Amino acid sequence: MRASDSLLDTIVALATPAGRSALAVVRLSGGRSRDILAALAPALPAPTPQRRPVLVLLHEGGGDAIDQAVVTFLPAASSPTGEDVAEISMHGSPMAVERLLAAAVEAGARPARPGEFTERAFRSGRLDLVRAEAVRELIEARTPAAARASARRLAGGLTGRVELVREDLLFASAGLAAAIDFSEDVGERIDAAVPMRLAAALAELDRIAATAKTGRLLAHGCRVVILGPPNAGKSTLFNALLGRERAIVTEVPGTTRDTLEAELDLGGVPVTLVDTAGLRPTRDVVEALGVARAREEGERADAVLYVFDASAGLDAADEATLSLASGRPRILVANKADRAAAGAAGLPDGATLLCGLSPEAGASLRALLAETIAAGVATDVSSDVLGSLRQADLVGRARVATADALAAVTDGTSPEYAATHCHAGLDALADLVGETTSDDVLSRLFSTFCIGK
Amino acid sequence: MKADPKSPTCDVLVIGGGHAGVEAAHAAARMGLRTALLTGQVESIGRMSCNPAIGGLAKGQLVREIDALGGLMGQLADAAGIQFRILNRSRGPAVWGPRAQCDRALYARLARERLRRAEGLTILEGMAEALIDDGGRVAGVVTGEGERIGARAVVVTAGTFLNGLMHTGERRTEGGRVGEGAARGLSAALAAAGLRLGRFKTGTPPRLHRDTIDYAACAVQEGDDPPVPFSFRTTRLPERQALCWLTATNPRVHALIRENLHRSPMYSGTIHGIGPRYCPSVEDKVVRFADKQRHTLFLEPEGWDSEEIYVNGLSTSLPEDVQRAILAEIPAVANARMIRPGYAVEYDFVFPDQLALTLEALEVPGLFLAGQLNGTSGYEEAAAQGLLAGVNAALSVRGEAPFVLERSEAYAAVLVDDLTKKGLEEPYRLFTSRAEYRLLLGVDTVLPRLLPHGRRLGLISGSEYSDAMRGEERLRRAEEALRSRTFTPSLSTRKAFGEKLGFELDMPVTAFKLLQRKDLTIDRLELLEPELAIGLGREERIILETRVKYEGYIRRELERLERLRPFESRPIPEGFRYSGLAGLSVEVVEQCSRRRPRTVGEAARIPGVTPAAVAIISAHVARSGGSSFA
Repeated sequence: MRASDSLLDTIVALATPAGRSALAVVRLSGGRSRDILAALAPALPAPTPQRRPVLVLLHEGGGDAIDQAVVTFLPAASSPTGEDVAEISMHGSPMAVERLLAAAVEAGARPARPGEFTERAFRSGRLDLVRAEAVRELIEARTPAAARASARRLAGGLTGRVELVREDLLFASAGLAAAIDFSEDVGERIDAAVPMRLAAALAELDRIAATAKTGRLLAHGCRVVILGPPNAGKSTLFNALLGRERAIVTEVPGTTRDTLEAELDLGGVPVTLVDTAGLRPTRDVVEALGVARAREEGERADAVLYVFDASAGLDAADEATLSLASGRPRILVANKADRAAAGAAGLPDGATLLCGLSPEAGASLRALLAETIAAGVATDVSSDVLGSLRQADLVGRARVATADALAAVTDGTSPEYAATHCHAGLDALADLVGETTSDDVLSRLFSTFCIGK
Repeated sequence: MKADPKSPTCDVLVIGGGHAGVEAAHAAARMGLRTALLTGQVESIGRMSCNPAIGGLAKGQLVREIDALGGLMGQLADAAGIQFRILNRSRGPAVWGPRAQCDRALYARLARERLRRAEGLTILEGMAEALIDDGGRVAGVVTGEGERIGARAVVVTAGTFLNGLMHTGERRTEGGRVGEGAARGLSAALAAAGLRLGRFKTGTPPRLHRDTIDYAACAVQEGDDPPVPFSFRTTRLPERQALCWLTATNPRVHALIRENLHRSPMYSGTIHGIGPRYCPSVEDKVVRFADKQRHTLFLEPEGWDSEEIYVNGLSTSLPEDVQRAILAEIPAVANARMIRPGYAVEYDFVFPDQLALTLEALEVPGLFLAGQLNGTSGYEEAAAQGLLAGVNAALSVRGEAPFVLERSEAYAAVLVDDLTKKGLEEPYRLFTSRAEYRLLLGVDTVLPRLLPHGRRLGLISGSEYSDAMRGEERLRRAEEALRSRTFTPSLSTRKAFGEKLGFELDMPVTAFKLLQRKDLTIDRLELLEPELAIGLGREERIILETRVKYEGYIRRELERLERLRPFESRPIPEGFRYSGLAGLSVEVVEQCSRRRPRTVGEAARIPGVTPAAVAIISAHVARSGGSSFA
C-alpha cells in the first residue's frame, strides 16, 4: 500500500481476467466515478442515467475513440461498494482495456489495490467481514461443494447465526448487570434465563466450531501423495484414482522420474493428487533428484497413499519412508495381491489389498481416500460452514469464553466476574464480523484478494 | 460590584450552590483562583432536595472518586451520616456501593461551613439573569438586581431551577424546590447563547411524621457494623446509627393509582418533561410493571432531630388527597401524618452533547455547565460534574491543559463521556454497566487510580496523599508476602494442614496459590500462619483476598483494555474533515463535526455512528498519518 493511497480516491481496475476475450469489464468506484465516466464517455447524456446500461463510445482525453461499450452507473445508495460505481463492459481487447485504464487514470482515478473494491464494500457497511472474506473464497473455490459453502457465507448465513449468538451473550451480560445494578430492586438473584441463553449460545458455537475442519478442507483442500518403491504400481494407482491415463505406465521400474500433480474432487474436497518417483538408492542423477522430490512431497503431504508389492511385503526401507508422513493419515495399498501367497507374512493389518486396478477398484479406493481425508468430518455443505482460519480461531475464542461464562454463572461466581467472560465472547464475535478488527489484519486480509475484486 | 472584562470581579464564578456548585466552587478556590459562588439563598447551599442519602450502587463508587480527587461530598456524607451500608456487600469489592443515610440539615450546614471557610471563595446571594458576552466569550453574569459580576470563566450549576415548575396533582407552583423560586432569565440567556434546551421532570415522595408510623408492621434495616466511611480522610464515624424501615405497596394501592392516573400531571399530559426510567414515580412503576404485586418502600429518617420520614419509592405527582388515600392502604403508614405531600418538578436542561469533555460549552467559550442542568439525576452525578467543571474552569483561566480522565480510569469519566457523546432521552443515571471495565473501577482501586490526579491538581495535600498511599503500600506488601511464603510438605506442615485446614499438602505451594482455592480465606490461612496479614483492616483483608482470588480476571480485564486501546485511543486530529469521506451518512458527518470526538473510540459512542462509519473514520485517521498506529 502506498502511503498516499486513500479510501477517498476513486479507483479503477479490470474486473475480468487479462487477455483476449469476448468481453472485458472495467470498474470505477469512488466519489469521482460519475465525473470520470463522463470524461471517458462524452456522449453520455446528462444527467448520467442511473442503474441502466447505456451503449456509448469511449474516448481518450484527446478525443480518440477507444471502444464501443455498455456502461452502467450505480449511485452510492445502490452500488456494491457503497460508493458511486461505474461499470464499463467493453470488448475483450487487452490493448483497448489498457488505453481505457490509462484514460481513467488521466481523468483522476487511481489503479485499485488487490481486494480494494471488496474492502470498500466492507468499510461502507455493505458486507460484514465474514461475507467479505466469502467473496474471495467463492472466487477461489475449487470444487462445487467449496463454492456452495462460500456462497452460503456470502449470502449471510453464518453472519446471521453469529448475530443470534451475540444477542444471547448480550442478554446474559445485561442479566448479570441487572443483578449488580438493580440488586436493591430486583434482588441479587441472577435471572434464570441467563444460564439458559448462555447454554444455547454455547451449543450453537459448538455446532459452528465443529464445521471448522470441513471449512478448512473445502477451502484449502488436501495434498495426497502416492509413495512407494519402484514398480509397485504408483502411477497405475494415480491413473485409476483420476479415472484417466494421466501418467505413463510401463513395466520398467523407475519410469516416473519427476512428481506429477492432478486435481481431484473427493466428496467436495479439492484434492491435489501427487505421483512420485519410486524410492530407491540410485546413481542416476535425474532419478536421484526425483527421489529427493518424492521425499519432500512425503513430508509436505496431508495424507499418504503407500503402494507396495504384496508379494514383497514391507521392509525396513518402507517403514523409514512411511515415517516421513508420521502423524498424518496414510493408506497402505498392497498391490499385485493376486501374486502373493495367501496369508503372506509381512502384510500389515489394515492394508488394502489390490489386484490390478479396475475402474471399480479405483472408485472404491477413491471412497476410502475420501473417508480417510475427512476422518469423520461431514463434508456435505447443507448447512453453514466456517471459512478462514481467522473465523475458526475467533469462533473458538467465543466458545471458550461462553463456556467460562456458563460455568461461572452456574458455580455461583459473583456476576461482575461472570460478565467479563460474556464481554470476551462478545469481543471475539465483534472481531469476527469486522467491527473491531485491527487495520493490520484488515489490510493483510484484503491484500490476498485479486485486483479488481 | 462593577463589571469590566479587563478586570473581572473573580476568576471563576459558580452559579448555584447545590452539590455541583459546592464542588465546583470548592475545587476552583482550592486551586488558588479567586472564586465566587452566586446562589439564590445562602441557606440552601448543599441542600439535599430529594432523598436524604448519599451513594448507592455505582453512585457510591462515584463519591469515593470525588473524594480521591479532593472533592467534599465523601467527607460531608461521613460527617452527616446517620446510617452506613455497603450495597452489594455479598459481591466483590469491584461492585460494592457504599451508601449513607444522612442528616439533611447537618449536611447542608457542614457544606455551607466548608465553603465559608474556603480561602479565596466569596459567597454572593442573588439570581443570575443574563450572561455577559465579551466578543463571543462569556465574561460574567448580570443578577436580578442588575448587578454585573465579571469572571474569566462561569460555571452554571442551576439544577432544576431553570423554568422550574412544581406539580402536586392539579396544583402548579413555579420554583425549583419547595419554598424557592424558579430561574427564568438564565434559561433564556442560555438559549440566546445558542444552546438547545430540553425539558425533564423529577419527583419526590411525601414526607411523614416519624411518630405516626407503625414500625411493628415494617421490616427493619440496620446499618453495617462497623460502618465504613466514604472518605479516605475520615478517621472516625459517629458511633450511633439510625434504623431504616421497609414496607411495600400492595394491589389495593395499585388499583387506587390506576383509578386516579388522570389526575397525575404525568399522565394527564400537563407535564411534558421526561422522567427518569431508573428512579420512576410510583405511577410509572404501577403502569410499567403492571404484573408486579408489590413495590418496596424504604422509610428513611431525614436526621437525628428531624421529625420527617422520607418514603423512598413513593415519588409521585398525584394530588394530595390521592396521596393520603394511598398511604391509608399501607398498614405501616395507614395512620401516618403527612407533613408534606410528594410533588414533581419540571425543569429545563441543556442537551449535554453541546459540551466538551471539560464540560465547557463547545460553542460558548468561558461557559461551563454541570449537574442536573446537564440532564443527569442524583447528587453524586451532579457533584462529580461540578468537581470536573470547577477544575477545568480553573485550568482554562490559568491557560493550562484540561483535565480529562479516561473511561477505563473512573466512573466520573464514563459519566462525562456518555453525557457529551451519547444522546439523552431521559435523565441520566450512572450504573456499573455503563463502564466497559467494571472490574478496574471498584472502590478497592479508587485511591491508586485517582489520588495522584488529585495531588497533581493541588486538591489533595501532600500529607493526605502519603497517608492514603501508605494503605496501598500495606496491601502491596501483604500481597508480596503471600507470594513469597511457601509451604513445603514436611512432616509438621503436613500435620498442621490436615488438622487446621482439613486437606493434605503433597507438594510445595505458596500462600498466594493456596488463597486462590475456593474453600480458603485469609482468616483460615492465619490458623497456620498468624502473621500473614498483620496490620490489615477488615476491608483491606477482603480487598487483598479478592485481588488474589480473582487475579486472573483482573489480568484479563487489563489485557482487554490493552487489546482495544489502539482502536479506542486512535487519535482523530483536531479539525479533521468528515465531510469528504465516502460512505459516511450526512447524519454521521454532522454529528462528528459538531461533537469533535478526540479519538475513534469516542466517535464510536456517538449515536448514529455505525460500526461501518467507525471503520471508515478509523481507516482515514490511520492513513492521514495522524497516528502512530498503522
